[in-house]
Formats: sequence, C-alpha cells, structure tokens
Amino acid sequence: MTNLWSFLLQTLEVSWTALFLLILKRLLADKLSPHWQYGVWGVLFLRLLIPAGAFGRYLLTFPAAALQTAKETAEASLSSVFCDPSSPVQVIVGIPWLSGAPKSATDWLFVLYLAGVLFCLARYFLSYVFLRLLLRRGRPVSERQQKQITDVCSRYGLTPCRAVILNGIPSAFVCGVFSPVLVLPEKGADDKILLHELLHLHSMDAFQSILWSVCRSIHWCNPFLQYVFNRIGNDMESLCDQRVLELLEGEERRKYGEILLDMTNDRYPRAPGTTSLSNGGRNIRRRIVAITRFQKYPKGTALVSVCITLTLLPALLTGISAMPLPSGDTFPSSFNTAGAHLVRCTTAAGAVDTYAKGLMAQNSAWLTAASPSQEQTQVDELVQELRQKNLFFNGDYYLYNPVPCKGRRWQALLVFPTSCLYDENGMPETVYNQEHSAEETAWGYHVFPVTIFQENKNRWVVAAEDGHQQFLMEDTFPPCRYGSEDLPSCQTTVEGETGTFLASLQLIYTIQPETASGGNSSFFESINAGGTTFLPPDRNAEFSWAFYYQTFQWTAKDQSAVSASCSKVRMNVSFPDAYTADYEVDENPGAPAWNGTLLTGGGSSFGGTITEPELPPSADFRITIFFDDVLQESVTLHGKEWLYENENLCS
Amino acid sequence: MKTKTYVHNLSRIAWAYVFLLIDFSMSVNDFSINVLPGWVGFLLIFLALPSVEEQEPSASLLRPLVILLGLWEVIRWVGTLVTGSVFDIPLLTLILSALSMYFHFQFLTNLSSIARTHGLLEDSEKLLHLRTGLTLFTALVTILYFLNLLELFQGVFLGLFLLGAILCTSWAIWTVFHYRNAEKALLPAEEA
Repeated sequence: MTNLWSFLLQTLEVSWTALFLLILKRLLADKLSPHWQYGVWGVLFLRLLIPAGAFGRYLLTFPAAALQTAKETAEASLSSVFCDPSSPVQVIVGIPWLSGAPKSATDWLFVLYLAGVLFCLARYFLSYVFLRLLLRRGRPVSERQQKQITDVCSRYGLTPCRAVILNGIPSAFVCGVFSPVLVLPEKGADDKILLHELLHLHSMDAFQSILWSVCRSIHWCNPFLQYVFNRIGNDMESLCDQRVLELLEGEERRKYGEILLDMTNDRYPRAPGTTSLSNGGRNIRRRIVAITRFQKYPKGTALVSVCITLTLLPALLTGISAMPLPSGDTFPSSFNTAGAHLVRCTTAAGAVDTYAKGLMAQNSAWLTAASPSQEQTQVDELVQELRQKNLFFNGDYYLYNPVPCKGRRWQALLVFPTSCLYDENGMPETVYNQEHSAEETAWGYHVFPVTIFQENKNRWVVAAEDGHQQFLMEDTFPPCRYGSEDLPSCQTTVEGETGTFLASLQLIYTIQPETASGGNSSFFESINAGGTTFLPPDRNAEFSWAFYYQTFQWTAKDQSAVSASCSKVRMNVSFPDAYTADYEVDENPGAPAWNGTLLTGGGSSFGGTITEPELPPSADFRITIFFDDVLQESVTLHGKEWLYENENLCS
Repeated sequence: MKTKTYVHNLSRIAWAYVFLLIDFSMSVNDFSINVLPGWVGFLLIFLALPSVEEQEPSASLLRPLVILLGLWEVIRWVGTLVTGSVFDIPLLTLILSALSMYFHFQFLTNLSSIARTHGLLEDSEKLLHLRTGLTLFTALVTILYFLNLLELFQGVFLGLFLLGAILCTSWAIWTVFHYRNAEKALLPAEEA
C-alpha cells in the first residue's frame, strides 16, 4: 500500500471479510467447536496478506467504486506524488511503505497513517522488551513448584519451559516465543492454571499473538478491525479453555471455572508474545458460561469445520464479484466514470464489444472501461464529438481487418452500418434509387480506426485513432458481415518479372453476444439507444465468427508481349493448408476484351470460439503464372510477413 | 405411537431430500420454474423436526437453520420465477452454503445416532457415510462455483461431474428411504 486510497481499499475489504466471519460465527456459535471458532480467523489472516482487488474481484463492489469516486474527486485538484487521479485504486502488497516524498494533503495523511503504524509497532515492541526486563527481577521457582510443573507436563504430554516467580502479578502467564518463560505469581498456581499456560505454549499462541499485533498495527485507525482483533484474542483464550476442559474430568472442570471466576477483577499483562489466563472481567464471564456448556465435539465435526473453512477461502480471499459495468443511468457521471476505471475487459473481444457499444450508446462509462487508463480526456472528447455529429447506428458492428502489430496489438477498423448518414451540415445524405425513381436516405458505414492491446494482466483496451470516417454504401442493403467493396481491405503489391501481383484481404470478425439464461433477460437487459436495440456489453466476450474475402490479381507488365507469346495465360493461387481449394483463372491473351489482368478470389468463414484475432489459413498463398501451361513465375507470400509489422496496409 | 410418528416424519424427511437435491426446472413462456422447489424440502424437515428432537434433543439446534435456509429458498424460487434467470446474491449464497453444509452434516449425524439407538447399526453407518460424502461433494461444488471453474467444465469432465452429482443424489435419497423402511420394519405389526 503506497497511498492513502490503497490503504482504505485494503482495510475496507478486510473489514467486509471480518464482518462476514462474525456473522457466520454468530450463526454457528453453539454448533461448531471453539477450534473452528478461532481457526476460521485464519481466513482473515490470509485476507490481510492478499491485496484487495488482486484478482479483479471484490467482496462488495459498490464501496470500491465509491472509494474510487472519492479518490478521483479529491485528487483531481491535488498533485499527489503517491497516486494518479484517474488510475484505479490498486493494492500491490498488504503492508504499507513510503514510495517518495509527500506533496499533497492526501500524501501527508498517508504519512500520518504510516507514522501511526510505526508508533503501534514500537509500542508493542517496547512493552515486550519492558516485560522481559521485568522478568530479570524474577527468581527461580522452588523445587516443589518445579516438580508441580514437571508433573503437569508429564501427565498431559506437554513440554515444560523455564519458570520464574515475579512479585506483584495477579496471575500466571507465558512470555516469549523462542525462549519462553512461565511466570508465576508469589502465591504459586493451581495445576489447572499451569495446564492452561502450558497449552498456550504448546499451541504457539504467543507467536500468533505477535502476528495479530502486527496486523492490528497496520490497521490501527480502523476501529471495527480493532474490535475484531479483540474478539480474536478472546477466541484464542476460549480455545485454550476448551483444550483444558477436554483434558480435565468431572469435578476438575467445575473447579477450573471457579478459578476463572476469581480472576474477574484481575489485571492482566497485555503485550505481544505473551499469553495470560485472564483477559478481562467481561470476557471471563463469557468464558465461564461457555465452560458450563462444555461438550466434547465428536470427531466428525472436524470434517464439516474444515469443509466450511475451505468453502469460504476462494470467495473471501479472491473476492466474489468483478466490478460491473456502470450503466450510465443510475448514478452521477463521476461515480460511473470511477466505477468504469475499475472494470476490466478480460478479453480482446470483450474490450471491442464494450467499446463498440459505448460508441453506439454514447456511453462515457463503457468507453472509459474499454479505454486505456490515461485517456479519460480523449474519451470525453470522443463522446462530445459523437453527440455533436449526431451519429446514428443500426445496432450492429463488425471488426474489420485486424492487422497484428508488435506485441499483442492489433490495428483494426470498427465498422458500424447505418441506415442514415448525415453530411457536414447535419442533413441526411441521400442517394437516387433508380428502382423507386426517388431520392432516398443513404445507407452507409461509420468507421473508427482503433488499436486493440493488452494494457496489463487481465485488462484489454481499445484506443481510438484519429479520423472517424463515413462511407456510403453503393448497394442499399449489403451484408457487410461478408465484406463490402465500399470498405477498405488489406492489400499488398509485389512487382514480378512477368507483371504486378496484387493481393487483398478483407477480414471481418463478429463477437458473440452475451448469452442470457431465460427468455426475460433480453427484455430487461437490452439497451435502447437512439432507436436501436442491442444487448449490454460483455467484458468477457469471445470472437465467435470470422469471414474473409480475398482477391488475387495479376497485371501483365507488357500486355502485347504476352498476347504475342501465348494463347492462354493462367493464374493459379494455391494455399499450403489442405482445406482451402486452389483458385484458378485463365484468359485468352489474344482476345480483344482482355485487359491484361487476371482476377480471381473467394471467401470463407472460420469460427468456433476465437480468443484473439488471427489470420485465416489462406493468408499464406502462392500465385503462379502460366503461359500455355508453362510455368513463368511464382510468388509466395506469408500472411505474417505481408500483414505483420506492416502498418497502414489497409487502404 | 411415538415411534409411529417418528416413522411418519421420516417419510417427510425422505421426501424432503427429493425436493432439496433434485432441481427440475421447466421453462414456461420465458419464465423458469423449479417444480421441485427446495423450500418445500425445508418445510417438510421443519414439520418433522419436533419428532427428531424427541429422539435426539441436540437436533433442536438445527431449527433456526431450517428456518433461515427455507426462507432463502423461498426468496430464490420467487426471484427466479419472476426474473426468468437464476436469482442469486453471491455473499448471501456463500454464507447460506456454509450453513447448509453444516445443517445436512448435523442432521444426518442426528438421524444416524437415532438409528444406532434403535439398533439399526447398518443404516446408522450408511447415514454417516452419506453425511461424509455429501459434505465433501457439496464443499467441492461450492469451491468450484466461487472460483468460477464450474463454467469451464466441458465434454468429458462435464459428463463426469454430472454423473457424480446424479450418483450422489441417488445415493442420498436411497439411503434415507432405506432408513425409513428399516424403521418402519421395526414397528409392531398393528402399528405399521
């Protein structure tokens, strides 16, 4: 945790976990043993170590979004060194540290918090040191007392430790982890008290109390967690009582309760690395009630206790819900924008789907969720531009020509068919329909050049390039999911010995719509934006289907020479993969209509669930030219060469 | 008479497990309805609980859990009916999954204890084994659910998983009905 906000997020998530465990413990208070009642706090300990939101999920998403909103609002006017205003609140590690010199008010607040942590740790350390120094004034126990300790240890199979007598202490306690000391009062101690303390030693409770003290220091300013840590200490004592009672029989158990009763008003040492029989009057009364209800839990109870704990682990440690995509309607825009910063589009297709629907719905939150973290200004400008231009969308979109760039990046075109294009003056474009002999509203496409890339682990984004374009459709109703002559394609040209080879590829991707379980979901979930209807974005979408259309053209360098040298000129296009059939075309070069060009092509689809844009198998091909069936020239192109690392191939 | 009442309530418990373990959802006009709702199962158990408590007093600890779990089943069933999709509040589901796991564990333990008291040692052991198996399977499913791994099950793994669920369900229902029949067989001829 390197700034105030990451600490707040961490302590918030830990608090929800603690609250959940308190509720569950309350419901199972008289049902599961003190072993489980204390042991389940191990889940909280693990939660303290794991950074909040590390897996992209939270226990409760609304508070995380509210925190992000507060951060962006507060930091907008500050110049914090520790955090960036619009970047998501992130916890790298569950312990705090200073990453630089503080500058803003929130930086100084974090420094103050850090000072509190150090103060608490120092206080615990010094209290332990003071106690150890005090123990030096203690005197060794008498032979009788040593024999008593040895008898208790041998009777119950425990390991003894060094023991001293110290004046002025009300009850026995154990101090230390690596060289523990059993401290007894002047009057000595009953066997049951010794048993209690030796069981603390056997269970390494002193070491555990040190760990809890460190956690308590890190979250010193969270009063709820301070209460929880007190409860943990009490549960530790209750567990020790349970262990004692399991070893005692009949009347001894009653006497143990009486001993506790005598300690109701006693003070007790509180320092990390120490354990004590007494933990305060109110807690002792609770423990006495528990002693009267003592029962030995059957062996099988351990199974369900472990199973319940294991069941809690995944959800409480990794979170339950990912940040939902803000709808843009319910809350103020600052809340939606902040929430959008915490959203992760986990797939390339998910980012494209979110971005495309954000454009269609002019939804700033969706565009923010799918945009790089540092481009909030560009998103706002884009939304402004969309509203000014009053663009109309039909509700469909396609990803055209994703061209791979260096790393996991693709440049592509987002194509949106529209049944109404507007000109620069805001008037609908029209086209003359000969069939109907009338001017009709022109169909066309809105095209947005974009780059798709993985910003960080588990977050894909789409960055808009400059230059929204509009294209008129030549046909009034083309199925552009199968390609369109009105739209750009990727091309490459190779100058050969016999002529010029031109290959073009149009690659179109569609994305799986969000599947809904139950028929009513489309009614409740569909988005109505400007008369069009589409399902909400799916951040985890996959590409469902791809279609490609290729053309291959050869233009003779010297048409007249070709005409004179042969009676048939043939072009064969072959593909290395076995599934694409060859294309062939031939012409009579002597025919008056021949224009010196051979043209062929075709298309096909490939689908299933596609994780990232990929080239079709036929992106690798060989074009061979024959004059009268005699091979003249052959050109081989590999898709990764003519498309990869060749930006701006698509014209 | 007490024993006959107990056997009668065992029938309720056996049928309760049919409702609790089998999800038979039908889609009607875009609405989804479970014709074997879980809340009916908990209602049957709630009605049978006093009889169990007579035989095994510690079963009284389960009463609040039955009420809580039953109420949640009602809310889920109505929510699913109205919205058409599975109604779920993840945090609540987690806490109730833990309670449900404990409930079935302890309830079957109580039944096993009663069976042993009545001399039905074989059925007592079977109920304990069922208790263990059901607890482990439920824990596994819940862990996979909250790790979002259930949706990855495809093909052979999905088939094996479904087969395991069917076997567990059949085993549970068969064991409880078998125990019911064993208790019934103990009744004097005129009471049976």
